[in-house]
Amino acid sequence: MERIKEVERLLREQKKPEPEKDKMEACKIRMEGELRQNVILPSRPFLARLWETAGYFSGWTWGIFVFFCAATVFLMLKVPYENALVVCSLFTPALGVFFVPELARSFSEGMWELEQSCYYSLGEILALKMIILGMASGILIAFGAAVTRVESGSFLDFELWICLPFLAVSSLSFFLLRKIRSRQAEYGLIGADLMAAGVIIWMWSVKDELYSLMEQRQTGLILLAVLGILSGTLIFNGVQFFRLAGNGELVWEEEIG
Amino acid sequence: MELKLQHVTKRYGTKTAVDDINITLREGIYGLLGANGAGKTSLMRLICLIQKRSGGEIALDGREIMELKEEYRALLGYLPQNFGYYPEFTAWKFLLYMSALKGLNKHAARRRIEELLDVTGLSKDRNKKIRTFSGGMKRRLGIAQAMLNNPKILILDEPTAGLDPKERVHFRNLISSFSKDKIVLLSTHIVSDIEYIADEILVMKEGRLIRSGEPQRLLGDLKGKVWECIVPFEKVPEMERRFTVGNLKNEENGCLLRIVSETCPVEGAMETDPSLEDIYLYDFQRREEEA
Repeated sequence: MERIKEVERLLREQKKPEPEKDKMEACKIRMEGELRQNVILPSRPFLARLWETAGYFSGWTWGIFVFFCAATVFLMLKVPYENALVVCSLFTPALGVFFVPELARSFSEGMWELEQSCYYSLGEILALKMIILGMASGILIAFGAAVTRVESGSFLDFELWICLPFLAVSSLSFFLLRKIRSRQAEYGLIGADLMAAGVIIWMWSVKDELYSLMEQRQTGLILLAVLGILSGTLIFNGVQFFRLAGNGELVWEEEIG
Repeated sequence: MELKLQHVTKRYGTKTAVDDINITLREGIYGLLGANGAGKTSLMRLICLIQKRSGGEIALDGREIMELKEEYRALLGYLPQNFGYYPEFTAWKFLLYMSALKGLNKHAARRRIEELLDVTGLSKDRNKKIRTFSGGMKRRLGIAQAMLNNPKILILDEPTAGLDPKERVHFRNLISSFSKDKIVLLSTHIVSDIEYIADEILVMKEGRLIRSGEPQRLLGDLKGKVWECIVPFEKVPEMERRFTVGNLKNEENGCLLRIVSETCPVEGAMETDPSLEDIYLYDFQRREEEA
């Protein structure tokens, strides 16, 4: 027993040796070197990434979004319903024309190669951009849907004057960006917008006939089917755009070297 | 660290841009030489996972890079031949954007950006729009973004294109100082860009790797095949037709030609020490003859 106590006493008396300064330095350098060798994969919350991506959108995109929001609220509050609907229906195609090119900015500004080689690759950047722009468009469209439902008592106005031009032009914009692959695509988008505006003006000129047609159950179903097809086309063109971009096949105006 | 390329091929429709490339890259600077359209950019894009290859394998320490994905991209720094930027970006915002894509947290990114702007001599211009930068400043900014994540694999596609001689020397020294413990692959069609800094030279033509090795060994291969001679001015066109003329200088008594040839081109020609440029010319002449 005494022997154990003696050992315990001796152990208590033992002091930690003071580390030598140069050995400490050498150890620190070695550890830093080992840390540099290890790949520490970054991890960042999805929402933070979403917020960060939105912050790098062009000022024009956000400016146009704010303008659309403000204009819609003003029109609905201050202008008679039908006049407001005419203006909104003419603005709606422009939404696709302004928002879709934001997705193609990596290509139009020549950033795609750099973005594709990064940890968060081009595919992820485009996915985040699609989510953000989808949400922004969704807010505007949902607002339009709510107002038209309250004012007219049905979703017909929404389907005909907001949903139809938005889906048609957005889908066409994706298609043009995917196929033309140069700055000319942007002129194509403007052309598509003007064409859509022309069609909408014509539709307003035959508004009464359109409404009487829509009152028939069959025509209503056809409109829904058209909207379904346009939604499908939008998704198809969006997915194709995304796939080509992710594979590095959406190269703009460049020679193979 | 070892990056191994085996039978790497890239086709665009019927055109083969990269044709059955086999190389193993370890820590060091590799100079990739080739004329425009030789397939350098395509090869680099395949290494950087920017485009999908048509065939072959690329493995980092035995693991296929397509499977490693972001784990591999985290090790990568890439400077494309023509890189763009969003017009509203200043140098600082551009580097901040790139560091976000590389997954650096903001605090670490800011510190790293400060360092890199300092090293690349762009500290004073950090708040200037990139569109106001000269070609040299843009390239320096390009290398700064490539170095943000302290990459283990640095791929530089024609980094000196469009730079004046002073800027080229500055850029070369910058790359050399960054290259420690890294695989650096640098493509160019200007031999002097890599003459002094490359540990190994790779020569590409028509998508194929036609020669590779240490500069000294490659120079040794060409010993006895480079000549200098003075010929009358009127004979110069004929000499150019018959031989590969690397250099041409007017002298008082005629024209001094530097010729790459297996045999002595004219009587009195003096054998001289080969340069990397001669190797490049020799390979291209030989390939054309074979074709």
